[in-house]
Amino acid sequence: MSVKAPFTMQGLDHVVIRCTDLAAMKRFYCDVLGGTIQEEDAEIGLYQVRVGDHIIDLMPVDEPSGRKGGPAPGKDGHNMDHFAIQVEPYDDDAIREYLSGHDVKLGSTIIRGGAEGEGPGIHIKDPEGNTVELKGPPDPAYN
Amino acid sequence: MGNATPPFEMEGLDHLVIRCVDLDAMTHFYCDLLGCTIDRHNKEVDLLQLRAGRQLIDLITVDGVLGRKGGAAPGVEGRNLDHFAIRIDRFDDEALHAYIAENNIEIVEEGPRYGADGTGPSVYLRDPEGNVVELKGPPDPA
Repeated sequence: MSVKAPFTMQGLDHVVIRCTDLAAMKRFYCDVLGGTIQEEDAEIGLYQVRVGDHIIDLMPVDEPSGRKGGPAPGKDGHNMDHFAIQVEPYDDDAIREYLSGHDVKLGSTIIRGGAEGEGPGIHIKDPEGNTVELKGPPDPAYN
Repeated sequence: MGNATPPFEMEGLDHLVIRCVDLDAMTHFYCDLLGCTIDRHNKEVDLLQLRAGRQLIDLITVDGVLGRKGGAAPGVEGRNLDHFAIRIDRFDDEALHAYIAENNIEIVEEGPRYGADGTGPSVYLRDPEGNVVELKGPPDPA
């Protein structure tokens, strides 16, 4: 089957993360990383954090929308391995120092292809064990 | 307590990485049906990067180099990613439904939803491994 899709994809719009401790997650994505609360809908249980052009939605597992997905995610067996946020500027030392000051669990810096080319990205953990990559602009040295 | 403000600004999402079991079925869904293209295939770490407009959807298999680190395959429930949304350039309700039906794709739900650039029509689909993908149309002035 298939034929041609009657649309063209322009890019990602948002990701929705199922979580347990909403306050801790909001602190991490807003106070530490610099996101801003865009809209909060306690009726359905969806809390939207603006990150630049896009949105990260937080969905507590014990509120109406989150309950539909069953129990809280475990430590592994995730369907999403990680997601990446483009950051600018990218100063690896400064980012590490800043995040260490906020007790964020830091992983290694990996040079890998992102949406705009090869560049460095530091892998960190949010309070619930999701891996978030902070991805710098493409580095001419690798492209 | 560290510094009050981060030494960077977030510009937006860059990519997300889905852990999967059947790479062929997933590639068929995202490329042949939704229109992604293969950006690169890093066989050293078993990472297949699909372009979805300005961003990437990466696929790793749970038995691959990167995928193994994340433990078992995701279950039906208890997922960390509830769903993700892809912005599409136009939302032709009739053509979209015909296309989805013709390709036997499951619709999970649909209706106007709030997205990164406003409220507009959305349809939620299930990929071959149960991940929910929202196709989000342009914001509707109505």
